[in-house]
Amino acid sequence: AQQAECPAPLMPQLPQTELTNPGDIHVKAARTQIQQDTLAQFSGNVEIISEQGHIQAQRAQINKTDKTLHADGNIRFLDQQIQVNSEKIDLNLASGQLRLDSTEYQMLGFAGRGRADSIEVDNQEGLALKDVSFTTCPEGSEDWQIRASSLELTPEDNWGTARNTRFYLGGVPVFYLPYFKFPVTDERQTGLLFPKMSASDKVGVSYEQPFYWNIAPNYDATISPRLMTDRGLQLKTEFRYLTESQRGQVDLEYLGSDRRHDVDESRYFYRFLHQGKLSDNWQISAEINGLSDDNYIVDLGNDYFNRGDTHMYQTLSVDYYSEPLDFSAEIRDFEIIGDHPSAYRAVPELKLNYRQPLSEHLNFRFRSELAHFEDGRDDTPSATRFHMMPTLSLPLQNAWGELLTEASVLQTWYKQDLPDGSGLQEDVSRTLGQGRIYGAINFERETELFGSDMTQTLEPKFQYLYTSYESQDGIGLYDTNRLLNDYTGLFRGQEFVGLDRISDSNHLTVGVTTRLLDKNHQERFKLSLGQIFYFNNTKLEEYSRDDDRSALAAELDWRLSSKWVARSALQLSSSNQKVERSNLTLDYQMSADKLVQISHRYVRDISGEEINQLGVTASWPLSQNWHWVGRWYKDMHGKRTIESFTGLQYESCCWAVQFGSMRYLSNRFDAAGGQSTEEFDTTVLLEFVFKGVGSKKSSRTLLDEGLFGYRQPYFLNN
Amino acid sequence: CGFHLRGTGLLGDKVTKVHVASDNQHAPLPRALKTSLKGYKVQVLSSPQEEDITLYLYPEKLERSLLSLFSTGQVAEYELNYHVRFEVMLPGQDAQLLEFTLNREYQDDPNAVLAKSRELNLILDELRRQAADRIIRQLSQLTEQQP
Amino acid sequence: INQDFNEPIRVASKFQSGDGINKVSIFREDVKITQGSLSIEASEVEVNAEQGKGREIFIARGNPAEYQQTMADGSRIRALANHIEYQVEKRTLTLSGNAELHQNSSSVSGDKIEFNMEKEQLVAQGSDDGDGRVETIFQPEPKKKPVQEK
Repeated sequence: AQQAECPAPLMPQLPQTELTNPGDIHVKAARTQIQQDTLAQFSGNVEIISEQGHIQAQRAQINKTDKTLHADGNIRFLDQQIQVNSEKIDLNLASGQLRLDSTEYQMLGFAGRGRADSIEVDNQEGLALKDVSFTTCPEGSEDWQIRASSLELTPEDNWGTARNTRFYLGGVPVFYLPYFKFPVTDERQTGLLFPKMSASDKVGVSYEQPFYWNIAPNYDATISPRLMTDRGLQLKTEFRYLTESQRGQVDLEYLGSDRRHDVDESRYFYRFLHQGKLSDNWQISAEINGLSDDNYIVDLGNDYFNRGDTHMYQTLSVDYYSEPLDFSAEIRDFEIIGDHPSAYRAVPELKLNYRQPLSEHLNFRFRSELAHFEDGRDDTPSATRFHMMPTLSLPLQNAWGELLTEASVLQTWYKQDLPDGSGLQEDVSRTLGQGRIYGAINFERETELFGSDMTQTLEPKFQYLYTSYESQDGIGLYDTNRLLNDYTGLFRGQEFVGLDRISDSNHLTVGVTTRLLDKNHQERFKLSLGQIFYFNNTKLEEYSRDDDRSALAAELDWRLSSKWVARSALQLSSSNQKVERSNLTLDYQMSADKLVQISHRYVRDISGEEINQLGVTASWPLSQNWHWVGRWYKDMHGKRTIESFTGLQYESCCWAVQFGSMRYLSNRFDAAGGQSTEEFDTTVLLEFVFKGVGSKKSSRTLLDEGLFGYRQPYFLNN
Repeated sequence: CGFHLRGTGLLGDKVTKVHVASDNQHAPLPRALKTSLKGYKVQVLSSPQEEDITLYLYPEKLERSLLSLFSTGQVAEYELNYHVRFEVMLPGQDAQLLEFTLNREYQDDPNAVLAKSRELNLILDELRRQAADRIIRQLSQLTEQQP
Repeated sequence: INQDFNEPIRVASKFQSGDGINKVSIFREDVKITQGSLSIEASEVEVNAEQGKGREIFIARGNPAEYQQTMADGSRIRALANHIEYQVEKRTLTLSGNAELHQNSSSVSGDKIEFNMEKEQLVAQGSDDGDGRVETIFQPEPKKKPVQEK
């Protein structure tokens, strides 16, 4: 929470007297004397407005022949970047170079200020300050301060470079850096360049000091040595490149020897991202990650993956896009974290899609795919699969409804390379027919609810799906898995993802959604219910159902008031009225950092386990400066707390310190590759943040700490 | 009970031509939006026109936040957060920035990594169609409020 | 600037009244006086030639009255004010009341301006009321001046 007394940074606002035309110099003074139209002297409340900025002084002198301006007597200089009070000022009117002596300055747009023996301002070079002090703390409470022999701020470079920097905390010099760059604006700089200090029982005390190297306008590197008292020195480097049509990033982390690592080998993590345009239609993208051992992330942490992740992508793809035709060739592989049975990869996978409207309402679509699956082991099947799916579709749509009719043929060939004794067939051909009719109608009415007039919608939907049957037990499982049946999934028209199993189907899906929209179309209430009615059971024995109806799927979103929001999703199996899955979340949100959320999740069976989990997350300002964040997750099934986190932040105008302590399931892999379910770790977090300089985004807010809160970015090829 | 078929024309009659702009024309979201627009019989222009609407789509962003853990501490369920930001430039008006986030649940399974990556792409395509429809709904609301 | 004063003086005005004894003549309404490159336009001009030739005092009033002359360096000065007093002998021009003086690329405006043509020195004073400060504008020197200003 921002302190009330923190002075807001001054914003650049030059006085209104517009210069008639650029090169002009406009001077106001009580007394003016001009000699031979070359030497002009001004005195008494002098005000000079020029392209370089706006100067106020007691006395000023302009020499038109050598184009210089000199002024003295409590000078105040103002331009778009900085406001300076000083004793004297010299300005070269031709080159625009300006120099102020014994100054006190205030940056504009952000809270940086301080003193400097001299300040030189130049349109190209930017700002150069000599023997300078710099802080973002308000007048009189300089809790921290940087003193440097020189400080340069180049305009287009968004960077400040300081030399012989001494760092003062509360007036006490804390450390010295000969050369030090810090971000003035957030554009290009993602992480903070200020040191990051934290302590945890995993690494001991950790001190990371990033150095930014601006190699060229479109290449830069950040090298961050990280010293960990319990483990040693880890070197984290990030190299980024950006050309007109290609951009990418390489991250390398290396830890030569780790004192606490059970095996005496070096540990590393690498990540390579690339995205490029080869031509208008051809694009290339790559995401390749790898690490030295399964516990790397659990022990050392990582900016891109969290300790709960099970795999990392290793993909390389070339794509061709044009209006009717798309083609993509991809290698899709994975680095599996932990000891899991063979994981199939598609090396390679070629896809060709073609779309062509045949008439105003009739469309033709052709999807084809050729892929080779193998998992690097010779005692398991590998296969080459070619799949074709021509579809005729008739989409009809108008204001109140939609009717989509589709007919497709699904033809798949397999060439399977089998270990001896496998029950599968080497050559398989499967031909299936599929018909689908989907319809939706939108009804509306005006009603008056909760004291305000609302629009209520009623949107019934139905879908009939027929797929023919062919035995598929001669086919291995490469990229196929059952799909989660949430409300949207009911209307997907496929029970499995991947192509190795296409279940025969003859069922009708019925669903209805009702919404309440207020005057400006904001959704206040939304309830959806849906269920599939199977007219006959699937002939794929291993997936046969013992019920002629799917679980009833329900979803609810309800904004009870401006502060309270309730959300819930439920899947109730109709045969035994047992809950397959349910979750309920209640949010109370007063403001961005004043919120409480209670959530409960239940899944009857997921990969053989039952999930029954209660969670509470809260963030609450205690006072003007103190802010508390808490998070607590309890496994009701196992009757234990699987994660608890509490954090306190003290924030003053120009700095903030965050303390946090976290206890969580360690999910560390033991030598046999298994994970214990009893091992817990605790981590204490201490982070010091300098406010007003560098990007705020980089210091993760306390709320993100802890596994549950943290949002991990995906790399999307867009 | 007062229900009647939804009367207001969904975009079709008020808006006939839209230009969809984005950094990468072939990115999945702009393509999904153009397909949906054609579905609503709206002509997609190849370049911006003064008297017509222009939609600028920022790159889509997908994040995952965690919902539940297995007893070993490994991730069981994720929530996929799909962020969409776009600008609407109605003729004669300055651009309005709109954004929304769609959420879907996604189960992880370390024993079927390839199938799960397929499922992620499937959910992502559904999110893109859902986002395209929502952009069109918001666009038709904006054009309705116009005189 | 000195040759101007050997040139004949031409005066045009609606009314003219002369006072032969004190050698003071007054011209009123659309007065235009030219002498070589010097030109004065005002609604009333008083020419006092008591001290004899070469020591005349011109007093021009108007809103504003205008005075122009070409300087030794060929540049043209143009002065405007409600009250302009020009003393030939001392070569000084005193402007008061919305005074403006334009020379080459600079122009000064203020309450009172004194301009010594001999030394080409200008002194301007602001008034006390309101902002009342003297305003000076320097335009960037155009590389070459195509044509001499009128």
